[in-house]
Amino acid sequence: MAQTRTSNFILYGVRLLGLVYTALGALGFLPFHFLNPLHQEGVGARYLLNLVAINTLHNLIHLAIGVSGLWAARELPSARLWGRIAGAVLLLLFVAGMWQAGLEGFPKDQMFLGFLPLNSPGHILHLMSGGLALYLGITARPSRQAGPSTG
Amino acid sequence: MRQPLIREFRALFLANLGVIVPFGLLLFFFPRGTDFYWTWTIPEPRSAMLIGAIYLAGVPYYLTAFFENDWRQVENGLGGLILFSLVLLAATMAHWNAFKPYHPITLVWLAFYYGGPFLVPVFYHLQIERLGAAPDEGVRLAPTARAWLIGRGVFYAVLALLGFIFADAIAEAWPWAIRPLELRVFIGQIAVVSWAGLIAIRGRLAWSWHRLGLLLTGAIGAIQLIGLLIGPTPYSGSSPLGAFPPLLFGEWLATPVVLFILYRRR
Repeated sequence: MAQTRTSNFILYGVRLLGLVYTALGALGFLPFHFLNPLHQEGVGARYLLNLVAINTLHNLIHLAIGVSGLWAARELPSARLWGRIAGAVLLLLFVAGMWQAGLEGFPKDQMFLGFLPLNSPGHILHLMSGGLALYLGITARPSRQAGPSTG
Repeated sequence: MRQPLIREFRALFLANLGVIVPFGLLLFFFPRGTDFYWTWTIPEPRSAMLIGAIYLAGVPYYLTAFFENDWRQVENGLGGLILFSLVLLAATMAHWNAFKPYHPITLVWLAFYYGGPFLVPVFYHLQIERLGAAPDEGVRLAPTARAWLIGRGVFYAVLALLGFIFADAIAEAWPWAIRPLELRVFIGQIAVVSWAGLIAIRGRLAWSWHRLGLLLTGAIGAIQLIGLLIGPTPYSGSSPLGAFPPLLFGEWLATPVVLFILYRRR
C-alpha cells in the first residue's frame, strides 16, 4: 500500500545548508588572523578560512541564510520554500558575481555592487549550495513508496 | 540481495568520472605541463604524478560503483569521499595563494570538493529514505582481517593528521623536492586509505561492504608504485623518508590483493 513518507532528506538537506551558512557566518566574525587573514592585494577583504572573501555585511548575510535555513527546516513546506528562495538568490549571485568578475578581467577578488567582497571560492560556494538548495526546493519531491525496497 | 543506487548517486558518480578522468590523465601522463593546465603550478613532475594517482585509481572505483549499481558496496566509501574532499579543501585553504583563482580547473576543483560534503550526505539520506538500509549478509570478514583493517585504519588516520600538520618538516625529508601544498593534497589519499580500514569498526563485516573501498586502495597503491618506477625525475632513496613511499604503496596494494584472494571466490 503506497504511503507518503516524511521527506527527511529535504529537511536534512536544508538543515545542513543552514548549519554550514550559520557556521560560516559565525566564523567570519572571529578576529583571528590565522583563521580569516586580511588579503591586501585585492579589494582589501578578509578571507574566511583563507578562502572566501568576506566583510561584516557578507558575514551577516551568511548568518541570515543559515539561521533562516535552520528555522525553515522544522517543517517540509517551509523547508521547500526556503530551498526555492535561497537557491534562486545564491544562483543569481553566482551568475552576477561571475559576470562582474569577467567584466573586471577575473581579478583575485572583487567588490560586488560596491559593498560585497566576492572571489572565486565564494562564487563556487554560491553555485554548489544554491544548486543544492534549489534541488531541495523544486526538483526533489517528497518520497512516495510502500517501504524499503529489495531492489 | 542487491539494492540499487538512487539516480542522484549514479549521476554524481558520472559527474565525478567526468572530473577524475581528465585530472588523472593530465597529472599522471603529462606531469610537466601543470603550469598550463593545472590550478597551481607543480614544479616537480613526480609530485604531479603522486597527486594524479588517486584520480586514475578512482576510475575503476566509480565504474564499478556505477555498473554494479549495488548500494551495499558503495555506502562504506561515501565517508571516504567526504573525508577526501574535506582534506583537499583544507589543503586549498592552507595554500590558496598558490592557486590561479579563475583557471577553469580551479573552478572545477572547488566545485568538486564543495560537492562532496554538500551532496553526499543529502543523497545518502535520500537513498536510505527511498530504499532503506542494505542487509549485512554474505561472506563475512574473519576477526583477524577485521583487526588488520582497523589497525591500518587507525595507523593511517594518525599518519594523515600528523602529516597534514607537519607537512613542512616532512617535505624536507621526502625523497624528492616536494612542497607542503602537494604533500597536503597527497595526504588526502592517506585519509581515504585510512577510512577504508576504519569502517571495519562499525561491525558490518560482510565482504561486500568492504570490497569497493579496498579496490580503490589497491588501485591507488598499484598506480603509485608504477609512478615511482616511471617518474621522470630523480628519486633520492637515501633521504630520511626514501624507503617510505614504496613501503606505503606496497602495503596499499598488498592488503587488498590478499583480501581479494581470500574472499573473492567465497
